[in-house]
Amino acid sequence: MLGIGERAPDFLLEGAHGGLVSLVELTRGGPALVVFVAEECPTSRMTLERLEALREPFAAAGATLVAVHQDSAETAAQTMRRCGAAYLALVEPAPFRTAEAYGVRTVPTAFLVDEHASVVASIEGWSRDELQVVAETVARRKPGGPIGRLSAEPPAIKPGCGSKNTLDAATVAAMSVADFDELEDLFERGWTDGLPVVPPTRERVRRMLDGRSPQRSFGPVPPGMGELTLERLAACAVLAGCKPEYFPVVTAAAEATLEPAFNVHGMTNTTHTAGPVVIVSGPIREQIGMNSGINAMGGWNRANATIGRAIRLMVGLTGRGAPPDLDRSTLGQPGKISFCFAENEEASPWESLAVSRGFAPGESVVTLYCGDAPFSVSDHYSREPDDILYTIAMAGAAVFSPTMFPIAAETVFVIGPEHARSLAGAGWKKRDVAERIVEVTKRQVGDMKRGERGPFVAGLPDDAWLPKWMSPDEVVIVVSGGHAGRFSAVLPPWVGYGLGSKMVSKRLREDL
Amino acid sequence: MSPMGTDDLVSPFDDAVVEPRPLARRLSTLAGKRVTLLSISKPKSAEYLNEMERLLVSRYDVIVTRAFKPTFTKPAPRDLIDQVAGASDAVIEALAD
Repeated sequence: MLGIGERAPDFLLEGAHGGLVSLVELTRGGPALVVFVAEECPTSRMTLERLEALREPFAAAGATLVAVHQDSAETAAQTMRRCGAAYLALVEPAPFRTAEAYGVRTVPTAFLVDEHASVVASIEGWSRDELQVVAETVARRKPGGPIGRLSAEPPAIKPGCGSKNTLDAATVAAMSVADFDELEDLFERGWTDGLPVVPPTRERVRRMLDGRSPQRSFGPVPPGMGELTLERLAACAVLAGCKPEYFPVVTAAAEATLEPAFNVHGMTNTTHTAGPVVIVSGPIREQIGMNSGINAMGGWNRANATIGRAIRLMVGLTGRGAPPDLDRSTLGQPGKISFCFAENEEASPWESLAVSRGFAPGESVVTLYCGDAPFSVSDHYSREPDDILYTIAMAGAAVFSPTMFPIAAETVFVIGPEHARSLAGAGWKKRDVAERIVEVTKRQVGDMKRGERGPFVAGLPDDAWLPKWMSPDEVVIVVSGGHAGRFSAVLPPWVGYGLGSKMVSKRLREDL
Repeated sequence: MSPMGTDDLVSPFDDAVVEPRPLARRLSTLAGKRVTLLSISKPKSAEYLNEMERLLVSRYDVIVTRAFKPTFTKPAPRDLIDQVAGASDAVIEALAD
């Protein structure tokens, strides 16, 4: 390591944000504190974070704080962001000749170099007291100016890590991040639904688990039957982009998905288009910032977008239910990337889906529905409940196949707040709405004898009437969406007759 | 080795090794063999399997048995698999739409 009074060799290095910078330029107007660092080294990162306190006082004294990163420009820039620092970042590629010329053995190593390229101080590792002396030395150049103060927080001393110029070429190559793109790496591993994913590092998964037992098992995930541990579910949540506070919703949704009644095996293997739809009710919506208003089903909200994606990744990766192998959907639909939304309970004149399904008001509940892409229904003209429901029901009558009567499957109708207000304003309850939808969609058998047809059609006279739904219980009403706009939507179901999927609701649990 | 290294990431997959199961011994002849045609119970599977049965019986002199999954939407129950496996020299499982 260069000692005090020795001449600091000039260098010409690339800036992390572009341009070339030499030592001569850096020291033209005053001294420079040149710190050799590497992103992998915790002491380097801590040092950069803490030296930020000196940057402005240095500038006031005509001095420069500069770090020579043994990293790629991208990593150096990332490190600056992570450290919340704005020092001048230079990058030195292998074989790290500048570090070698300065005799650097560990990172961080700091050299205070004056205008004559003479080393005024050299410090290995983190040494608060020595670096504080440097801060005071620099401040003396401009009496009365600010003196940078380093944090008194421990540690006062922390040894550094091996500098890359001391390592053999193979080791450096293995450590090099210059040609490595972690997002591309995850595509190559197949840990994605086709969009970039967040690397599930051990640290991120640990934060997602937040003290939960990583090995706790939820059992196998059909169709591939990979065992779902909480750790794997957390990995899916990280990949999807979830924040740790979403994880209770993800775990409840995973539990619901794995209930046999939901039949995730069939939902995944089917040539049909349906996928898992996650509907969230209760206070958790607000606690984690879910969107139940404008664009409720359209993503662009982190919680909505990533919770649904985590469930889809769980089925596709842990359950190996990814197309084209075990997911055999002929067409697919965008909701098979992610489909999660929250009820707009504040705008709803009725009890929530969760309460309709037997949960107490105030409980946070996740409901899994096996549904197709939303089919929106516009009715800006009608004001009377009968007229509004006629329009909405006509769209519902087409689900699965317009000629399939009955469909005999639970079907979710998302009623927009304006429609809901008109209906409730006229005194209609949820049950009235469901009954009306069943009533108004009845069709005569004679109209249903072409195309795909239900099992009863063949044995009935043409003038017999068939309902689309066997009971109002199959018509599931959820209020969601923005306040303005007379829109509702139907989420078509998968196959009916008790063969497909049943909706499953789970209360968020304290122990998960 | 990637800079992140596999060990730095938590895999969402269950990498437990599943031992590959060997295929059953191939039949040297179909003559006189018991062949089960297993329908997954989709509409129109009967048309396909009827024709298959006709061909097997007329060309190869096999003894055809028909079996049905309760529904195409779920895996076959274990009992059905055992029953079909025990009563057949060969099985043809038909998907139909």
